[in-house]
Amino acid sequence: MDFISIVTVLWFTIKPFLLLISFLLVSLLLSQIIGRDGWKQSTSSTLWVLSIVIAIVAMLIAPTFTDSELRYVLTFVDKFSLLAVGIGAFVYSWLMLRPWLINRK
Amino acid sequence: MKNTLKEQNILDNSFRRKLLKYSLLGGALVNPALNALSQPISTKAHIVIVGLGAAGTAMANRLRRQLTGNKITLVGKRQQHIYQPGFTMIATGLWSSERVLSKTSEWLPKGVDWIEQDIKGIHADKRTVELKDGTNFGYDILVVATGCQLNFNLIDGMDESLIGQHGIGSVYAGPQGALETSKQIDQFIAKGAGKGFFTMPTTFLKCAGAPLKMTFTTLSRLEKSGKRDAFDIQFMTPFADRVFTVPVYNDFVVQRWTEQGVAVNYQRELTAIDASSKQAYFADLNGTVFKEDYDFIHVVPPMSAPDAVRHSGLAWQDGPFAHDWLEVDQYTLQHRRYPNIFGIGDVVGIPLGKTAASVKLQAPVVESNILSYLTGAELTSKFNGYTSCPLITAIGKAVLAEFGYGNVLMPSFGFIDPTEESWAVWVMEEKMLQPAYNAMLLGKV
Repeated sequence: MDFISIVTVLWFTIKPFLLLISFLLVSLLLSQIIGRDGWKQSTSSTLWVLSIVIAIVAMLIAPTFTDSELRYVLTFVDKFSLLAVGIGAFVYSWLMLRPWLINRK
Repeated sequence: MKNTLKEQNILDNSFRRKLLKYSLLGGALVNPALNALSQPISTKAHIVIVGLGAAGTAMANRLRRQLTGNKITLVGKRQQHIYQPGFTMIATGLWSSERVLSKTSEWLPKGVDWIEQDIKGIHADKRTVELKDGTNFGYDILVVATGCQLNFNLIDGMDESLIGQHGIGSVYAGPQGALETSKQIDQFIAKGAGKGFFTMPTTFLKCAGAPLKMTFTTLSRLEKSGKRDAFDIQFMTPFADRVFTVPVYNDFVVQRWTEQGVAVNYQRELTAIDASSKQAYFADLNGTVFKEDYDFIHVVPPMSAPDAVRHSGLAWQDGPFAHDWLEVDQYTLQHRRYPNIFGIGDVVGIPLGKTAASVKLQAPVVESNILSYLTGAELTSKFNGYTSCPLITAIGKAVLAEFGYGNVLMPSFGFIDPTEESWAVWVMEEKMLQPAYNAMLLGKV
């Protein structure tokens, strides 16, 4: 498949989820705007722990969301994909919670 | 040194751009089809597309975009478009039957006529198509995209209406048939013990991986029930030494079934069913008949081009596709005796290519060759036999089988091993195949 075809298929794949993706992005944006003062404070250790837990949970349940099982994550591509899910969940939850989970004086 | 390299890169890029520009220009000059692909060409040719499935719809979208000034007529009565690759998911109990249905009209481009009738016949010598109501109308170019016909009636005692009763299932029998098949498998498993058969016909068939997938997914469900050992599962193939065309996948499947306790019986063609007594009759190559009692049987019907095509004189006259499939050149997909007729999809008599993924590769070939035909140029686009089948080996994992003529493996993605079971391939089958199919319908890929 050429690059344009891959992008086209990806676009058709995410099209049904545009509302959900928009909701997630708006939520992230609102969190940043409303809690912008939080960025001036240092992060609490809870932020890191919670983000890691969310990432691990996302990795554990991702196969179930696709009617599959964790034991079928077999190949390098499978493991890389699962890792990408974990990294994505970590980054999103970290950014979402960063303004709020801070060391309050 | 850095500057020198940078300058060299600029020179290289400039050279590449010029080369690309002149290549495209040169290509367009020497290849009218390529030239035509870049801008719509004006024609008065009336193009008739028979069939409203994946192939017919994709061709309508592609040709409407490439041609101006002409009439394109689609013929077919189907009001609902059916995403057939999803039948396996329905029969496995994962999808609802509604998930594969959409309105035909949603996929059709503007500027085409739609005759909501099926055809009765094609009169190639007169260049006319005959509708069911007896009306005839002419064409300049005909695209035959009718799909194939399920011939359950060639199995004595078998009728499509029996699917969903007496332990009979068939993933091929439409969305409702697939749903009923899933229910029959549920009832089979609920018995706690029993004998299940999975069959295969001698004819060419669409999605030849489906009978194998149904066996694998049923095994998954049996294993999940915790009573796998109480069930006797047998696969009946009419062929002497294979269950699948491509040796590497055939060997893989047979090996896996051996590990999973599935008996593979060769030279066993389903010839008759006694539904009320749950007995099936299989014949070997010598005609010897074997009677088997069953609790569940997955019936794969013999297939052919629809009768309207078979009896129109357009089918092959001899060879392995004789009297059953549309006679086209396996590379250009142009009819071998009527150059103004092209075939695409399940209806064509070619060694491989009865999957939706094949249509994705066939559509640009037919499009390009029709444009070449219109401009009087040589037909240069060639179909390589590409066939793809995410071969489900359990509910949750699959192998991305992609191959072409000569059973040559044709992996689309270098990073996915075409012989390895994978969760990522399953995700592609479950989540991405339908969007890719939709893009293909609209002629976007």
